[in-house]
Amino acid sequence: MRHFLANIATYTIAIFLISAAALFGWGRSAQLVISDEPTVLQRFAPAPGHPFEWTALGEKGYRRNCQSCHGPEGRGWDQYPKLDHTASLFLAAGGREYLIDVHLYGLTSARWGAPMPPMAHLHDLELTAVLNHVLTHFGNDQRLDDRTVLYEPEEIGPRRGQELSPWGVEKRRQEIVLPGRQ
Amino acid sequence: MNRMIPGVFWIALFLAVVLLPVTEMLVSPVPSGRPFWLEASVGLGFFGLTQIAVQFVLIARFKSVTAPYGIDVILQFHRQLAIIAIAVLVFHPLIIVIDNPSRLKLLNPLGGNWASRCALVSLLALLAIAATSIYRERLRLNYEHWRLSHLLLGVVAVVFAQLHVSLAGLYTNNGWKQAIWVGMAVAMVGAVLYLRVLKPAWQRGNRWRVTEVRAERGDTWTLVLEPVEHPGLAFLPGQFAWLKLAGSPFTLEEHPFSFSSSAQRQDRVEFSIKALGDFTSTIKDVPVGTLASLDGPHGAFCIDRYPAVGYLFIAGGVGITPMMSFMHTMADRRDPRPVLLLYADRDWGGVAFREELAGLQDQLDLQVVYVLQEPPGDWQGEQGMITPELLRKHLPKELILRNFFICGPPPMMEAVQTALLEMGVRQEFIHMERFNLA
Repeated sequence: MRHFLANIATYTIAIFLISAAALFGWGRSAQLVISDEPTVLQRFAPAPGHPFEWTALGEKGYRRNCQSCHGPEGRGWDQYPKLDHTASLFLAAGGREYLIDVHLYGLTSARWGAPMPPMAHLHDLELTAVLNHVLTHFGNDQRLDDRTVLYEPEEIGPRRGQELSPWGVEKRRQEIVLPGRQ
Repeated sequence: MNRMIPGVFWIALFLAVVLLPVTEMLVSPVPSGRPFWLEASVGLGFFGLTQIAVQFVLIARFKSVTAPYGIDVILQFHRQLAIIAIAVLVFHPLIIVIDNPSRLKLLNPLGGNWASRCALVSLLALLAIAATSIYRERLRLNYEHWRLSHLLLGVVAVVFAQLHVSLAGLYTNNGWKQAIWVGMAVAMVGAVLYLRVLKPAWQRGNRWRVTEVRAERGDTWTLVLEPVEHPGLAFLPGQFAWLKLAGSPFTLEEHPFSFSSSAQRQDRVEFSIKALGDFTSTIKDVPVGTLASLDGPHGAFCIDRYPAVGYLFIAGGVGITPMMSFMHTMADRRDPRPVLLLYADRDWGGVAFREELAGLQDQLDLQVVYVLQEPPGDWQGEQGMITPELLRKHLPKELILRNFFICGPPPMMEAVQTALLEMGVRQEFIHMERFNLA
């Protein structure tokens, strides 16, 4: 009996450990980014001779922070806007700064029933990566051309610390003239 | 059932110990993740290493750890878990190489870095351990040499694996993580000091003296030991001890033997040893007066652990020794419970203790059935092997609350167990001593 139970215990332990290793591997490969993890993020930061690696970071960041409202393909739903025209805003005068402000301070408007919550807790690196991800996906990429300069992390910092409410952001939005809708 | 709680507790603790150092590495600062297969292989590597380190604790014969299972089960765990750990540790580099074949150069001692070289040494040591343990008899390795090499290779494997972890340094990327890993490895490997230094030091004050070497039938000798200026050893009938003869208690040369004497006598213990191998063949020449040390008692093969209304003892050859302890103890206690002994051996002349058994039949409700492989011409009793038919013929019709104790050559024990299970005996009433402790 003892030996019989011992065999069961051995198999259980073996299965347990192999699953734990698989879980470890899965966890470690899927958690590419922890949004409040500056040490991890620093690995993606631009440095002399090595550009800002935002692609994977942006994809994960979008999934973690945006997709539950804006949808995995940026199509939006109900009270949440689509993200297919972000590049137009980006290219318009003042749009580059406006997009950063939307993320840092949120947005409340009459146009959408749900407000955009402020995302200022995101690290500069992750926020930049997410912005670049949106600008290069969901159809936005067709509005960009070779001369477009995407966001760099150092653009975020200077825009933090403004006295700006979500309504204030909406006012700035009204000042932006979109090229296609004059 | 009260053994169930510590039994489950130690296994849970084992899993916690194997998982903890890996969990600790996930505390910030954490390196960024890599592809799944690479990380899973790293996980396997870490689990394999802790599991190898835990082996040192398993084999250190801590009584509180071994008691719920019996030390033979602990050693079964040791063999099985170590093999699983080694398999896992082979997969660790294998996956890394398959993931990217250009990493093959890491397996070349000249091609890699110091981290990969340490890993290579560790893995080779582990493979050598596995090969020498599985094929020890085929390789004709002397037991003592094997034991020493097993211990040394084990230490080499853990030390170099630990160096590999520290040099690779990806996860142990700061002081306290390093400290936890190194501390853990040192603590576990240190358990071997308890077994090989502390315990023998204690045994120095608890020596025994050989007072008689008695010849039994069947090339078997009974070694009688008496304590030297200490009260002796309290053991349960059917337990065993590691015996170190002569020399210092610090010797690696020790052999496990069942007590064959009554557990009611702490001050005079007997081991009955059949001349089967290098060491056991020298028992007959042991001079009276030789000093000995005992590490014990160990083992869970005892009737006191499993109270029952009656017992069935099934012995093959020298597997009779723990049964002799059962029966002598029962006789000394005037135990009225019925005992049926099925005793298989080669030939009538070589049946050890048959006169002693005749004497025990006067003191106990004991029925003995001898089964001879090579019976004499005028033999009236059973012959051949212990078959299901033979069992059916002799076992009492009422089997519900009897307990079965089987000790003998492994094939015999397996066959008898299978037959008993087919007859409807419940698994928890069948107890076996797997005396393969090497």
